[in-house]
Amino acid sequence: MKLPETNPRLLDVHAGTARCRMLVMGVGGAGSNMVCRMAQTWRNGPPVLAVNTDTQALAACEGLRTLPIGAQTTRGLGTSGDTTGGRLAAEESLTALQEAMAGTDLLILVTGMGGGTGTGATPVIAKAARAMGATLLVFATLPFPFEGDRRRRQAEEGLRGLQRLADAVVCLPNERLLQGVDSQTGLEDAFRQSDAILATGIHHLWQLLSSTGIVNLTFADVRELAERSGGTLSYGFAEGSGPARSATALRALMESPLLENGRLLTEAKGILINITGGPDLTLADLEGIVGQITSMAKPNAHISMGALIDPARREHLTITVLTSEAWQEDRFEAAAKPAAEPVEIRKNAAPETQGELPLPDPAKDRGRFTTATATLINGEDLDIPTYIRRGVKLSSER
Amino acid sequence: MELPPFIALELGTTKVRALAGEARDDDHLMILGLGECASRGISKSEIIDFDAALSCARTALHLAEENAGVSIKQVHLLVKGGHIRTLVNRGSIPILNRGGEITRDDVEHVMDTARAVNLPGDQEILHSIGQHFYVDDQGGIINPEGMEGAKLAVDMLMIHGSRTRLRNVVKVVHSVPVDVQDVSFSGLCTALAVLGPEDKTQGALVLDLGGGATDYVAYAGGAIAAAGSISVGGDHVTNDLARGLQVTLPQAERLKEEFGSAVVDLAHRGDHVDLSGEGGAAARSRFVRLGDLQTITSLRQEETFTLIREELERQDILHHLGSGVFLTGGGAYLNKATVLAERVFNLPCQMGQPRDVSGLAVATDGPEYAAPIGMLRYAIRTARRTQRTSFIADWIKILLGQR
Repeated sequence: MKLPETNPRLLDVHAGTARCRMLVMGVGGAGSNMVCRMAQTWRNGPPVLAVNTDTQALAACEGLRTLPIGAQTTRGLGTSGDTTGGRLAAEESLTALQEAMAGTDLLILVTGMGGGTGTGATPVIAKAARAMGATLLVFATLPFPFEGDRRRRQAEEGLRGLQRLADAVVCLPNERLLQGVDSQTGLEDAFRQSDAILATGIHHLWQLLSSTGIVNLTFADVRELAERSGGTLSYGFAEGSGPARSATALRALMESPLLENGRLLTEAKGILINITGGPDLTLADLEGIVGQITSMAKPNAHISMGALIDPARREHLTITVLTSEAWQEDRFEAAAKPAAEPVEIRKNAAPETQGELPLPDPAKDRGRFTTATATLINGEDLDIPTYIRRGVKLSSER
Repeated sequence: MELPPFIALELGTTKVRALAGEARDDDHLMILGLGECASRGISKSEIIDFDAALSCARTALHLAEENAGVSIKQVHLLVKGGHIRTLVNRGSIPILNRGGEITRDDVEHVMDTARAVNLPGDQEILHSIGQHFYVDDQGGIINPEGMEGAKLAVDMLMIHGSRTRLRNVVKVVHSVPVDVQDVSFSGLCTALAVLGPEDKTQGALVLDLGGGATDYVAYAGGAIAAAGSISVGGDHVTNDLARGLQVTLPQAERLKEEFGSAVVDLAHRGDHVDLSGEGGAAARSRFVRLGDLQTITSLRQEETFTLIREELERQDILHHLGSGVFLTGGGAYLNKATVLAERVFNLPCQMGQPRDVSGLAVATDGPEYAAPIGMLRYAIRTARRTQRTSFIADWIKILLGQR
């Protein structure tokens, strides 16, 4: 699986040559709209492709590379919310999609879950991308509560499927993206603002991976975080300007609804920090931000950071983070480990009186199957309760 | 010639069952008696304590002898478990006879060729089942005898499992002591019990939700298209509940039976289940929230169904199951299991009811006896087949699910 590690310095000889070939692909109506607006805000950026079954909607993405799919399945008219239609459309146009993705190291899929094309076609594209050896990060928005039950259910099902297919899925509920936006803002503006949050993060990631930052972050760091996340990442974004910009940005990050007001940051086991500032970015700024995040995070969290100078952004500072609540050991290592040891822990376990949340303890989670041979499917130990593996919180644990 | 009564023995994770039955006219089956005992020494459908499992088997067989009024010398043994896998192997031969007409010998020969598959040394073949024949390039042929062609091929579905684990189950029965006349994959027997010929032709999926494993068998176009077993069953649901609600395993079992559901009941998820008056570790709270309980059970059941759906999707079988999904086994009693299955597979779903069987009502009415009933049918068909002279033609018909 692992690609051979190339020395980034050797490739840097060709200034401006991308070391990591990245492609941003918007799938479905919501995804295409998002990448379309993203591309408009970037002066230069990663290659962008909009994929949709609805040719009319694609035509609205001016100046963007587009790929209509499912010409026969949907006749270019969209799927009217039917995921099967989306899936069939992607399968029909699989060759074209594969050509578009050829040679990509990092594929970023931007999609809205709940609709027909986004929910149906994305898994097909994800599967194909993985088969071609690309690392796959999916940014998926979830529908608003007012969009109805069917969409929500389709979205949840689609999301679960994607988590198995992609290296990592960053899930962005629409209402959280828009929480920072003034309620009186027009709809178009509201979406533009929420898209800008995502656009900045993806753009900075691209800049970091394609040029040399002052503190460098490599494709390997991103890939490791994605692969070890167990399928779910969270995305955080904050900006600050003026003299106290680093403190402002940091505070905004801690209060960001995207990170559940900082909870996801304190509980993260893997964090990727990206700081972009103007030429006036100081070492003290970096130290302050990374130090603060490190002190908040778990003591043994894996933190990697990159910093970048954008000459146009004097007196501005942007922090974007990707966090993972899990840090899995290599799947093969984990499977090879004997499961016998935990019996001891169980015997010596303290009585159930301590008033703390139980820590994840494989021996306890496996319960009556502690001594049984583990049932491992797709790298998951099925003897551990599903709700624990899915990270579902019960009311008694809250 | 009259056939003697047959005994099907199942060493399940929850129950050890012995079922005695005999053949009536046609394909009808009469259940004569039943012996049943709660399992010990068996986890995830595998023997973990030989002596405990042996004493269970003895008890169940003894009860069946008393109940049916027969003396048991030999049994037909059902096996299951996550170690059981399938593999499709295609065998092909040239037709060399005059005019290229395919004879019975050719059919026999090609099936033997397809059966000769190299499995790892620790694997034992349980069944080899013909799916479809190919004459030259024409596929989907049920019986090629008498047709003309230059090349004959057949797809054989091989069901195989770990030799040591299979032998350990057989060894328990030998130590009872009784003879093992035949060994059969439990999922296959379940399908034999609940599916009619039209279901097999239209395509159907049979799920056996056992205590330690979930078996699946899919028929498409009259032949078995896929089969397998996942080592996740009702015990996992109970274990999840015990862990999540911090109750004892027996309490969890009781809660599962009474309140568990494959789909969370949104209207009552805030309700509380009263645990006061019971012992156990639930010292902190005497109430369990119904929403939590059903979240745990539904997530687990949904995961198991989804794993099977994904497997069938991989093999591209899901679109060929016109008759839908049949649920059997004790796990089928979980509330709304059929509703969840309909949602996950996007197919009609029903409880699997054993067909053409009468006798003991407890055994014939519920979905949990489908596997041993199917085993008895399998035994009877095999015995009848050996009585007949036209051995091979019938054999093929039975293998292809024609009868």
